[in-house]
Amino acid sequence: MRAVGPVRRRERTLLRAAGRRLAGAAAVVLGAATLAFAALQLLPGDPVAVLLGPATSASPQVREQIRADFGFDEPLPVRYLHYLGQLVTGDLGRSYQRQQPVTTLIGEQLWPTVQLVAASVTLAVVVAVVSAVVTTGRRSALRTLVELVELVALSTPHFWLGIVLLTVFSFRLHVFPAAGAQDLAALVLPAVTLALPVAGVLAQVLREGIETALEQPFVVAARARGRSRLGVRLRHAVRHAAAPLLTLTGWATGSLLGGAVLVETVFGRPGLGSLTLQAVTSRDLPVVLGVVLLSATAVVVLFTLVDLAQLALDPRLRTAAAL
Amino acid sequence: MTAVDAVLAGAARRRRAPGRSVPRPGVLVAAAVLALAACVAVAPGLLTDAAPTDIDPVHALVGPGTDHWFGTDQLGRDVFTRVVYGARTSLLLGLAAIGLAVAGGVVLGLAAALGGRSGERIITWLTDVLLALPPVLLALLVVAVLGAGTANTVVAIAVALVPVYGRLVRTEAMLVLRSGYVEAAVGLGLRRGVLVARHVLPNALGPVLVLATVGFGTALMYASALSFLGLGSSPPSPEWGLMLSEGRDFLQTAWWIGVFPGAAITLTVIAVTVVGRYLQARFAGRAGR
Repeated sequence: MRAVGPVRRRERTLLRAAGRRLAGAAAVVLGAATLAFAALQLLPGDPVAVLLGPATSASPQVREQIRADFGFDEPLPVRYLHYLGQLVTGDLGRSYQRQQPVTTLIGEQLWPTVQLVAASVTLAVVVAVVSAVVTTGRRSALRTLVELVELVALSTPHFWLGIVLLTVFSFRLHVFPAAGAQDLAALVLPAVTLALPVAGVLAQVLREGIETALEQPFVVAARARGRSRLGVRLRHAVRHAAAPLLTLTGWATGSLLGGAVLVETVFGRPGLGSLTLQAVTSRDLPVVLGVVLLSATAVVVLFTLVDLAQLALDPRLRTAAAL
Repeated sequence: MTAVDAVLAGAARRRRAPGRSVPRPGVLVAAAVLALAACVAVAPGLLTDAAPTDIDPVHALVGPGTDHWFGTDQLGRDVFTRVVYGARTSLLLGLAAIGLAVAGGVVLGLAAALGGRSGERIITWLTDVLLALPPVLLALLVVAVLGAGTANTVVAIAVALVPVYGRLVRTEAMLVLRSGYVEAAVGLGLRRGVLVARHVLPNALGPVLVLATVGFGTALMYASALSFLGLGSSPPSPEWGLMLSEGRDFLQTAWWIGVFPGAAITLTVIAVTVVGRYLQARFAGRAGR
């Protein structure tokens, strides 16, 4: 029973810190929703006319009815709360152009993009970890070469990389199909295109982290206990280096979601990217906002999870100053 | 890329330069590439006699060779000439976007640093919200609201990049505000406006401008991405991203139409990144923090 006191106190501070981070995340999502509402107000034109479409013979009475049904007559704060209420129940509004709920449109296109992003994340992390672990602490021609490749990779625009890969592997060598999303072979080139620039960044940050960790006193201690060089690197250094890598999760997700728009365009793949681009071109704002809000929520959720995981994993973050 | 460079810049402040891995000759080559790009942008006529819109249907889709270094496109226009003339548009778009983003960042950051508790909270919140939106999607959202076109894409890219600079300006301004000479200036009775203009801004701006060098590469890349998606420059303008998108339809038969403009974008961005990181490393070493 004697141990309960301090443990409870520690649990309570941890919970409080976790609560603060969750509240921060909720505030950011609320902010994104507010921004979306503001964007909807900014679009010029009569929303009823947009909803009805260009070719309509609706009478003024019908228009008034729609106006009242959608609540366009209400004062701004009421409309704002109504909009937030809709979002909470998972209603992202209706597309101006396609006359369908935005959630239906996104649901139809979500799967190919999730496939693409998941494949790219896996590929990027594997490439980054291998290239960073193999080349840390060495001054060799290999390292110079790998670092040069990373620099080129992170500076290359997705759309150009995609076009070069298409030219070489689809049109010259005929190894992979040039377009579509019908099977795994069609996923290879888009996933590589999306993964390489991100992998270049992750590898640089990871190497930096490993090298910082290798200078720490505990590395000398581990070596003195007789652990091998590679053993220290894998068991201790990578774990420390994972922290800065994890903080990049939010950035990487955003980068991949944004890059997916470009990559899907290059490869003519169906997905959220083509949906978004069509919506931007036709200024179908509810659809664009739906995709943006969904991405922002994904970024915030991932970022918060990483933050909480680090709080649980790294005791140094639990000191009073960090909380 | 900007967020990452902020992370790496932090690492540089702690210990050492992220640019150390790039040897000095590499920096020189990168600087030379940038100088060449700048010269070409100012005076494209030096490198080529032809005009970017000269149509020559007889010699359409000719491969790269001695007559046409980069080949010709579907209308017989010389791809090399178009890449050379495209430098001006593409560099200007990137420059305008990053300039606007830094200006916006200075306003937001100073307002946050000087605006008292509530001002700081609101602007920090806004920055957090903007940082949560993927930059490319945020830019697309702005284009959806404003409509397509060159000027609107510049605004869109600036909006997408502004939160990074806002946050950085705020941090730097807070550091300056806490320093001894600002205290002395306040003690001497300097007015707030003069204090900000003469002491806070010049001292806070250094790291921001250094980060903006790398940000210029990002802005250039986003600008060509939006043109590639058909939302920025319109034909027949020789803009690198737009040329790439036109070349996409001819990949099977004439790879050179799309590949060379893309190579120009990539080469410029690499050069900007190398030079920018070198500056970051140098600055971090000199400031000693």
